[in-house]
Amino acid sequence: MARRFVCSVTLVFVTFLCCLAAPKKPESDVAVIVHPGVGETDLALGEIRRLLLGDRQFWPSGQRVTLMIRAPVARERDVVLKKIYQMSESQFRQYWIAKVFRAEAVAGPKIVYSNAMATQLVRAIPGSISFVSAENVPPGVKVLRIDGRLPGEAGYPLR
Amino acid sequence: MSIKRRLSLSFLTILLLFGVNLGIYFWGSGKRDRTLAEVQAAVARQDLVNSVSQDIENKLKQIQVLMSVMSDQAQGAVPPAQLEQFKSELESTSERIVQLLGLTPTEGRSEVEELKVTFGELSRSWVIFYQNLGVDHVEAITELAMHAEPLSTRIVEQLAALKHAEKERVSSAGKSSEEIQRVTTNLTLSIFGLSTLIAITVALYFSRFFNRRLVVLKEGAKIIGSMNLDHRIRLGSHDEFGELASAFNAMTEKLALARGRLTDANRQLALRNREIAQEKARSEQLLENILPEEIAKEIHTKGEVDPKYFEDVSILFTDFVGFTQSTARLSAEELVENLQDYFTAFDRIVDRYQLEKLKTIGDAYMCAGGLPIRNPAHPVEAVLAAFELLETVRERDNPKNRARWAVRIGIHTGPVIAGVVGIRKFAFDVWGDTVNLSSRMESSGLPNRINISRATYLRIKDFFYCEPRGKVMTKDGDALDMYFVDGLLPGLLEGAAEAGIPPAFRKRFQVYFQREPVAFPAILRESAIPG
Repeated sequence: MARRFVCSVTLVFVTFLCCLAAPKKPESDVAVIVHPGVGETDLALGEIRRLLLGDRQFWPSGQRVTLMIRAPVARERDVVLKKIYQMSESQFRQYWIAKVFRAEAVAGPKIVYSNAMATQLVRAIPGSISFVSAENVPPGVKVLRIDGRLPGEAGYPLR
Repeated sequence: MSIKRRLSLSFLTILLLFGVNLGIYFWGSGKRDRTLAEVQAAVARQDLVNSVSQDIENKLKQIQVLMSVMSDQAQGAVPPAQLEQFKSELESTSERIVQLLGLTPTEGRSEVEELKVTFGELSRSWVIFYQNLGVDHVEAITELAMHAEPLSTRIVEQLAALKHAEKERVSSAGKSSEEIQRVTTNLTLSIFGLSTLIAITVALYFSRFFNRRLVVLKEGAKIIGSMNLDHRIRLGSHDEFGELASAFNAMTEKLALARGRLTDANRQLALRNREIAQEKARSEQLLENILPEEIAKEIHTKGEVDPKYFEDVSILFTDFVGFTQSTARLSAEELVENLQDYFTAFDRIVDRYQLEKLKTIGDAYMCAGGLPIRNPAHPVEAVLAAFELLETVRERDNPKNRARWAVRIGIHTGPVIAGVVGIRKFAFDVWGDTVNLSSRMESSGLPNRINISRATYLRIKDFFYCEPRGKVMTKDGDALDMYFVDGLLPGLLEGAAEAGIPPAFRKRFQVYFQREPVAFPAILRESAIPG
């Protein structure tokens, strides 16, 4: 009985070590996608930040900016919070609740649960903007350049 | 114009001003009420707008919270009860918008109607969002982003515009209310000022009006009061003061008339008084003629005379001899005429010797000396008077005179009681034995002789020569000593001139009686008996 227990523990430990030793798959960049009707193709990171903070709620064409962001725990949300908002999850929530209650914004970011849902909504809602993994960018949406760089290019900030 | 009319006009003017003031008060009050109603309506609308705005903002926040919750629990549809409550809340807000529409005036109604339409669309969009929440998240977000949010933006703008408009209306109504208040206050103050000014003007006018007339009336009354009844008050007005002045003038005229009558009456009265005084003087004169002066004064003073006792009086009686025979020969008029002549002469003589005539009884004449003023010389003066009486009678005893009488004179001296009796036809009289004896002296005498008693003799013997007759029987049967007075003692005629009182007589008289003799009969100078 004791031998069997020792064998099992050993097996689990070996398996764990194997897992740790296995080669890690490289993570893709987070692409900024917008409705194809949006005129902009290239935005500075600061402009994107203003859009996401709700300071800028309309595109130059007059279209309302509809902001969509992935639900918590999603990698894209973490990247956006870290690189653009530079806030923690709780700071992000508190920021938008305060902004809505101060009536500085009619609506906060809409939560989407998957990259597919995000791309689907961006395609459907004019002026909408969202963040999806660069690997999952389907046709029918526009990927914006950030500071002149597309995902995958050197110096792309959302990585 | 009468004072009553003037006062009525003034009262009406002030009443009119009060009426205007009251009208302004009611107008201002009505305006204030209307403005207040407008303010209240505006405030009510503002409340409703704020309420609706709050509801919508709450819903917006609720949606955001839902989105947030959905991010944590993205599973399952919204429970039907919650959905119904959400719809009910939306319905309630919609009803308030309808209520707001009812309260909104016509000019602001289009904005509310737009709000109503927008809210209707937003409600529908929110309901769709709610129905899809947790079921079709894409549809929910799409509805929210595509419809609800643009509508929310629009409705927030509309609400802001409405809030602003209602705020403006409230402010405008408030300003209007203040303006009405200001205008009303200004008008009220102006009317009050005007009323005060008019009241002061009216008061001053009436004060001067009354004062001027009252001064004229007062001055007129003062002049009339100083008995200048020719003065007339002239006001030149036809009001109550004019009537009062006319009444004053009429009264003055009547007073003048009455004064004229009174003056006439006074003049008549003075005339009467003078006549009465004259009559009184005449009466007194008559009384004095009838009575001795002192007795007359006593009657004047006391109305009566107390009987007086005179212890020393000479009573002189005369009686004409041949009078009875004359009555058969002479008519009554002739008798009276002759008696008048004799007695008038007797009166003058008696007066001259300060004797008191007492009375005449038929042809008898009675007088007294030594009363009512006591005078010790009365026996001498009675004899002097008797001589003059004799002379008077002798002078009238001539052929030309139909009544040729002689006279017996009797004198006695003694006490008497003197007084006045009766209430009519006063007569000063004397009583006592002296009177009777005097009468007996007369009746026992001889024509043109002076027969005196012993009492008289003893008093005159130092002045007159007397012829004793011895005891003579009187008609009463008494035997009395009697004397005829024949003349002045011769020694007393020494140095007698043609006229005047012989000095010797004067001297003796002065020595005996401490005064001058009042008169002296001329006959005695001629009839002196040699001593």
